[in-house]
Amino acid sequence: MCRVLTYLGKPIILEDLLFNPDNSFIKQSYDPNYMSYLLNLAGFGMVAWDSNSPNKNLPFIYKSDQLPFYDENLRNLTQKINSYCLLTHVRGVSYTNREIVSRQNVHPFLFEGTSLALAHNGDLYDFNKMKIKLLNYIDEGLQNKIIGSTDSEWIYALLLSQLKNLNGSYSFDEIIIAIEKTFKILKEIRYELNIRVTSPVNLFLTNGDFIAATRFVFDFGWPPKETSENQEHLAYHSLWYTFGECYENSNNTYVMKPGPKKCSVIVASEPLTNDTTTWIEVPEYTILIARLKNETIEIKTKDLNLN
Amino acid sequence: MELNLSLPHAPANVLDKHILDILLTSFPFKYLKNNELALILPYCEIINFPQGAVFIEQGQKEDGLFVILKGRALQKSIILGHELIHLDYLKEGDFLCEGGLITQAYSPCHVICQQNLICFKLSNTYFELLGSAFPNIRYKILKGIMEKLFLRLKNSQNEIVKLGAKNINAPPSFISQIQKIFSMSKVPYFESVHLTVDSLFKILFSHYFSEDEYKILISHCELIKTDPNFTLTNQNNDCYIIIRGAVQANINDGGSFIKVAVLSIMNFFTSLSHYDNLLSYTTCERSILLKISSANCEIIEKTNLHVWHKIYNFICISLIFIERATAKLVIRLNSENL
Repeated sequence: MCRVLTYLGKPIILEDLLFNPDNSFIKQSYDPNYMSYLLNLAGFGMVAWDSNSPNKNLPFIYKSDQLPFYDENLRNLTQKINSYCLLTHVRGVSYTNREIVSRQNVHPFLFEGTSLALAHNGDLYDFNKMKIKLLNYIDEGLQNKIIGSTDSEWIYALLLSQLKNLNGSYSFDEIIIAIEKTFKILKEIRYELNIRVTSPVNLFLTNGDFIAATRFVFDFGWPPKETSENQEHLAYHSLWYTFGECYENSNNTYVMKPGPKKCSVIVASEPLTNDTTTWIEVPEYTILIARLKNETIEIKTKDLNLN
Repeated sequence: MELNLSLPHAPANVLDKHILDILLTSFPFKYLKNNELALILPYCEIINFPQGAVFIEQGQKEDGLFVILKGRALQKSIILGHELIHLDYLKEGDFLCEGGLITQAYSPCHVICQQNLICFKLSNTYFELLGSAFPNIRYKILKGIMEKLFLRLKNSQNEIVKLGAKNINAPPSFISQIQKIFSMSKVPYFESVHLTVDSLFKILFSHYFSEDEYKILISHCELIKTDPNFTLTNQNNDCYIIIRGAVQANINDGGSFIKVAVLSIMNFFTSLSHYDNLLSYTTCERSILLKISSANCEIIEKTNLHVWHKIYNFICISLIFIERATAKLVIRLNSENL
């Protein structure tokens, strides 16, 4: 059901996040520890900032609808990119020919003209009914930029429409307010259309300066009428984080090394190792946002109560 | 009464009267009579752990209930790579790994043997079999464990408040409907969720209750439909079952509360009012709940003990979940102070 990972902190070879740990991000595409009823085979994407690269404010962008564990090019790239900020996503969709697997539907989304990227783990129930009403809340200039068929891209355009500017830096409060407004609009439209079915919305955002994530579900505990026996997809989608000095291989296992300075943070759908003792679960109905300030990670969490 | 004990892996004379007294005064077995303990002893084990051994690792799946008979162990939590000692030493009469008995549970901490440790072990498998062979014994063991869990929650409450968790004053919801469930023949239809009493059995309860057991349960229930942010007052040890929506379990802190866990469909929950209203519950979504009043709980216990045992099992599962979520909250709050 999609896996997402975002990182901010000391530059790290991407292979150490994507391939090397025992529950690596790429392994989660075919063998996730959580939400394993659905594999994540519908595309891989990432945006990664490297301060030593030309045009350092522009991230590396890689998107493919191919299976990432067979992708030699991806493996080679991750051995070379030394990134201080990363957002990456593997897409999981149900096994039906009604789903469109294409590069246009691969997250993260990053429209031209903005520095803010978004990835989504979740699914808005009956989303197609919402589109017309959503257009009223999406800036005209952004409407034309939507090229895929996912609800996630629409959520992205809606969120961008809540920001005063599409580039530059944002305070914690600006990001939190934009997220809350986005969720309130989605909730309002769902209410108008009488869509009252469980719809997870774990969003991940970054622009290279901060990372943010939400652990949220609309109408949690309200399954659709056509629910099958498998209840796992109705569980609250997981979200974990870890922070410390740096993420590295120690005694044959990857761990966030503790130290006097906390300068790295990872927020992810699930831990990158089978040993979860150095990871913390984000509580339900929560926004988490982090940035580097004076070489130290600053983290803020806030309850998301739209009622 | 002479007890015929022949435990595997146990020295012949290890279960002397002193040891039996330890078991009968420990929380899990405090409600058992001597002959009831004697019934289960042949199927349990005595296990020795040398000094320095890791009894269980943090995050490891719990397998069997252990009661310490002799020796001492230390509980340590690892938080983001830092070690934190959460509890005092575990000593004789203390128990651990109780979560694995009735649900999939993982140890919230490392436990390391400070001395040679002798433990009494009741396996998950045998505990499950007790439900068929001696359900009353199983119930008594759970009852004892739950008492201790409430005490642990009480300690956690103090620690959480001390660590400065954010507390919330939730505005009460003014709209809620209470609708009684009538007899099965009237088949009330819960229009907003397209559920009937029959369909409720098929999609939710049939996995756990027979049809007859379900009829007994449902005839003692009231239906409650609530808005979000509705705080369920619980002065009387009522039991609630979530049918739709979600409910947040809170640790009470004076006039406000601290969010601990989110409970979802088929969670049964209650709070014991004589624990100073330790826990409270607030709906975080519009919700539909079945309420079994404390009076009806007592009636079910007196007249249909097997149904009550099943209800109680569900209550225990939720309480273990809440207790573990509280431990995670303590970890998270401690991590913010590192």
